[in-house]
Amino acid sequence: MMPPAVRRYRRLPGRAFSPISRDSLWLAEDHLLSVQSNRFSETYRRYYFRDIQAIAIQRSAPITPLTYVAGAVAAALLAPGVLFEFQKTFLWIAGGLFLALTLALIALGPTCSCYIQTAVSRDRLGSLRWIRTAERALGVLQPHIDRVQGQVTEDMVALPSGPPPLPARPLQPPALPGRKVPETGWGYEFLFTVFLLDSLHSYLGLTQKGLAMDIAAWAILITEIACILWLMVRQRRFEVPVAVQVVVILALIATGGFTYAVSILSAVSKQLRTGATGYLGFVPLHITAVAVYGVLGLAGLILITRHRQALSHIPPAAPSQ
Amino acid sequence: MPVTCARCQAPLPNYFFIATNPMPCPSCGTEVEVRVFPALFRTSPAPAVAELSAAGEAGCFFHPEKRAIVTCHLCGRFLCGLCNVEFKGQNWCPGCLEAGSRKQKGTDFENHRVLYDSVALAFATLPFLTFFWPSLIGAPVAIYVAIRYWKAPGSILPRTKIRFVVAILLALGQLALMGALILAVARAPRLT
Repeated sequence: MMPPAVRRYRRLPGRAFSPISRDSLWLAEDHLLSVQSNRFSETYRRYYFRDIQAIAIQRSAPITPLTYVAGAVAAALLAPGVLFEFQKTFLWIAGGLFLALTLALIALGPTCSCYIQTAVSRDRLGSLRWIRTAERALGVLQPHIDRVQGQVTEDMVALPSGPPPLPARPLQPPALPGRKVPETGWGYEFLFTVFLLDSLHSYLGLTQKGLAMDIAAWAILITEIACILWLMVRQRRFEVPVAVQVVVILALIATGGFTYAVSILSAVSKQLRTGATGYLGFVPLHITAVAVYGVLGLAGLILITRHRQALSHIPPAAPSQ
Repeated sequence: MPVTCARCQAPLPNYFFIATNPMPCPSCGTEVEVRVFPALFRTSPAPAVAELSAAGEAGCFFHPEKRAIVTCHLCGRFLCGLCNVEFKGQNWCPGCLEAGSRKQKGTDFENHRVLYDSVALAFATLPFLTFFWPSLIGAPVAIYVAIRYWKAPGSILPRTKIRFVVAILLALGQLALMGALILAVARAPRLT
C-alpha cells in the first residue's frame, strides 16, 4: 500500500507560458522550486531559503513592444473593417481580439526580469514577468526566507558614512563583462538609406509602372524586412540609442502595414472590378508611403549619425599612473 | 558574488540594499529593486578539514588514517570531516548520496521528470487532430503508455491521473471510430 501523496508544494503567483515551455515557481517548507516544463518533461531547480542571497527585479518600460505591435495589428485590422464592406465580419472579430489583447497587456502593467542569487549562481525566474506578479510572489516568499535567515541589519550592509551618492548616468559606462557594447556596424545606415530609396520608389510609382518597378518594389521590401529583423536581433548584443530602436520598430510596423494595406486594397479593387488603373486609394497610399519612409529614413540617419559623433567625441581615459 | 544590475551586470552599491523603492542603476540607468538577505553578508565557511586519528580512535571508512566524526545516517559508516556531506540536517556518506541520487530516492534528489500522462495525451490527440489516419498508430501507443506508466512517478508537483484517463478514453474512442469506418467501407456495395 503506497502512502498517500503529501502535498509538499504550493504554487506561487506567476506563470510564463509559451507554445513549447512553461515556467512556474513553487514553495516548499525549506526551499523554492523553479520548474521549467516543455509539456512532456519537467526540470527542477531548488533554492534553499538559507542559501538565497538576493532577489533583484529589473523594471522594463511601462508599455512593452508587444503591446505596440498588438495595437498596430488591431488598428490595421479594424481600419479596413470600418472603411470598407470587404470581409467586414472577419476584420471586426480579428481586430477586436487584437484590441482586447492590447488592452489586457496595458492592464497587466509594466513587465520585469526577476533574478535570484545564491553564493554560486544567479538565475532568472522566468515565471515572474510582470511587476505586479513579482511583488505578490515576493510578498509570499520573503517571510519564509526571513524566518530562516532573519532580517538584514544596518551593521551587515555597512553603508559608507555620509549621504549616498546620487545615481547619475555617465556618458560612457565602464566596459563590464556581459554588458552590451556600442554598435559600430553600418547596418542602420544601410537600412535608413533603403527607407529613403523606398520613399523615392513610392514617389516614382505614382507615375511609372512596369516590371522593373515591381522587381524594385519586391527587392526593397525583402531587403527592409531582412535588415530590420537582423538589426533587431543585433540590438540584444549591441547598445543602440532608444530613439533608433523606436525608429526601427516603427519601420517594421509601417512596412507590415503598407504591405497589408496594399493586399487588402487590391483584393477590394478586384471585388469591385475598378479597372486596371490601380487599386482603391492608390494615390493616397503612395503619398503616405513617400512621407513615412522619407521621415523614418531621414530621422534614422540623423539619430545614428549623432550617436556616432557622441561616441567619437568621448575623451580617452587618462592613462593610469 | 556581488549583487549586480540585471541589465549591465555592474555591481550595485550598498544603498540599494536598504532602499524600499526601485532605484536607477548608476551604470545603465535601469530601474532595479533589490531585496537582500543575511546570506549575502555571511562569510564562506572554512573548508572541511579532517584530523588525523590517534591510536585507538575510530577512523573514517574511506580514509582510515583520518578521525571519524559522524556516521552516515543511512549505512552507518564512520565518516571524517572530508567525507561527511550534510544534507537536510542529516549526515550522508558520498556513496549513499550518489546511490540516492541515482535511484531517485526522495524527491529532493531529482531535477528532472518525464510527464508520461502528457505524452500519452499527446499520442491520443495530436495524430487525430492533424491527419486522422495516423491515430491508427497513435491511439494504441497512447493506451500502451498510459497503462505501462500508470504507476510511474509523475510530476513532483500536485497532479492527478486525469490525463491518463482522458488519453485512454480518447484512444479507445478513436479505435472504435476507425473500426466503424473500416467496417463501413468493407460493407459498402461495389460499383463494378
